[in-house]
Amino acid sequence: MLRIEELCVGYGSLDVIRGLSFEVGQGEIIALLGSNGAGKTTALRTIAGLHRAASGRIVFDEADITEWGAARIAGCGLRLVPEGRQLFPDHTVMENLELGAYRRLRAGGKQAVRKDIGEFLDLFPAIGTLMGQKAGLLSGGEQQMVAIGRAFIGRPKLLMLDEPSLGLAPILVKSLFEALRKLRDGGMTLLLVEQMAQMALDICDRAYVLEAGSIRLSGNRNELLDHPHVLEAYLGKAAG
Amino acid sequence: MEFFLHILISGIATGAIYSLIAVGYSITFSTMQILNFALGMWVMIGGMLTLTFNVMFGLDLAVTLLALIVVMILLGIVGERVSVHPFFRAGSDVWVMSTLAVGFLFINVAELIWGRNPEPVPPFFGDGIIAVGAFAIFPQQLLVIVSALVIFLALHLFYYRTLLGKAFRATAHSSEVTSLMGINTRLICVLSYVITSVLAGVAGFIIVPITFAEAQMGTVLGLKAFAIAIIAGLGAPRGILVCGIAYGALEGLASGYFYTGIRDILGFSLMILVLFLRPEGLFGTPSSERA
Ligand SMILES: Nc1ncnc2c1ncn2[C@@H]1O[C@H](COP(=O)(O)OP(=O)(O)OP(=O)(O)O)[C@@H](O)[C@H]1O
Ligand SMILES: [Mg+2]
Repeated sequence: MLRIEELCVGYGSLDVIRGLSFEVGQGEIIALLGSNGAGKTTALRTIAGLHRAASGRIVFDEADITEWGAARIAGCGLRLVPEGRQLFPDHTVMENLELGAYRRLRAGGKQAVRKDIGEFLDLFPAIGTLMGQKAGLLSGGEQQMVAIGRAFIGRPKLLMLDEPSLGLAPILVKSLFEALRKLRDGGMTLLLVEQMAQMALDICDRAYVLEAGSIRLSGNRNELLDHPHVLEAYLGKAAG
Repeated sequence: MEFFLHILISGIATGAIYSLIAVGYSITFSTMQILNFALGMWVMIGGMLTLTFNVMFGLDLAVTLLALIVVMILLGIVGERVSVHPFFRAGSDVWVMSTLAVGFLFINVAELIWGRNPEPVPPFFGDGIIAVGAFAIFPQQLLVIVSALVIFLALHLFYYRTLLGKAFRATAHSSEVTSLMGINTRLICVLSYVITSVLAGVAGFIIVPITFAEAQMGTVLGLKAFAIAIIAGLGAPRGILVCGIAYGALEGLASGYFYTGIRDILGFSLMILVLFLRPEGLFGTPSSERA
């Protein structure tokens, strides 16, 4: 569904992504792990069209989207929930969701959008009473749920999440990941960037480990859960 | 008392015009962080088009307004394309010069087409006066005030009640995140420029019977409106309405009771004072408080 081929991205003279290649198949949850500064955010932002790639190809649904702008990419079903949530703080929660469904509402899909908002509230019941609240006043966890909802409401085929667990209490992270699993069960494909390697490995089908701008390791979750390098560097356990 | 009321009311009418132009600066500033510095000259084009369609071609006012809006939309699209878009990159501030250049071009073209002599445009509702006791107002002044209020209300409804308006506000917060919603932010930037252009044109339409049609009719208006946008805060449309009207009233009273020369000193002195004491404007949000 999504294929990254030999992607290189940099800021000025600084190369951050160096020959990154990986694939995400229909219906999978893929985790992309990596330590601080490994280039995870840069990779997702480039895929979402916020950065230009220096070289390489990004293929989504058989279309070469490497040169596309962010709005067009989001419009064809590839959505990013950016690092740090990035809600529109002066808009209400409801308005944030409406903006997420902008194209569908423009196309006259008001009924369907309303139904999906209902579905989102089933997933995150805590948001139900906050719909009229300004998004900037929500707690970090609530903001993360709305950020996911805002992307979900656009009915993407593939949802990319940049560290959704950032700053959340472990109990919240658990229910958040539970919700992500439900989204997948509903037919959505997920690409998940995480520092919380254990949690991410628990729900993913396959994972890639990003180091210094390219893939160091990859495999299905059991392979990686047992891999000495992953155990040591990402799960904080002694190998063997 | 009659004198006081009279200058107060004409001051308020002038202030309403300032607000209408000033809000134009704020619209493009919030979506693109750029200003059309020559907005006063765009007001003049609105006045000249009114002269042409209404007086020279003899079209009635509604048709004149409609035709004017169409021309301002086209000019807005072209103006954005040539004077903003090519320079619209982070760090480039060439647009300061290029938008001004378009304004000076407008003045030159206007002098070529319409000459240098001020041409009168008859008031829309005749030159009678509406009087209730000591309270007297020209119908054109009343029209100016009512139009400004209606336009501000419409803008408010647009920003807060329509999906497109909400997308404008989202773009003002972060064009990057807005584009992640699949929203074409480039289109929103062009639209905001076009709205600004239409507002300036409409301002020219409603004041030209008061100012006369001439190539320089908008220059000082545009500058004062700029001062008001800065005094109120570029991100605060409602503040701009309040400040514009208060400023117009103050200016009217000051020049009525002291001497006319004070008019032009007042605005810029106030602007510098506000910039010094509260750089974000009286109604603006300080950048450190921004989420
Ligand atoms: N806008 C930028 N300009 C210059 N360098 C940048 C920019 N953004 C990121 N970098 C650099 O690129 C490298 C990768 O950053 P990136 O944000 O992609 O890492 P990350 O894997 O997401 O890290 P984290 O886990 O901390 O979020 C870092 O060394 C960072 O300093
Ligand atoms: Mg990151």
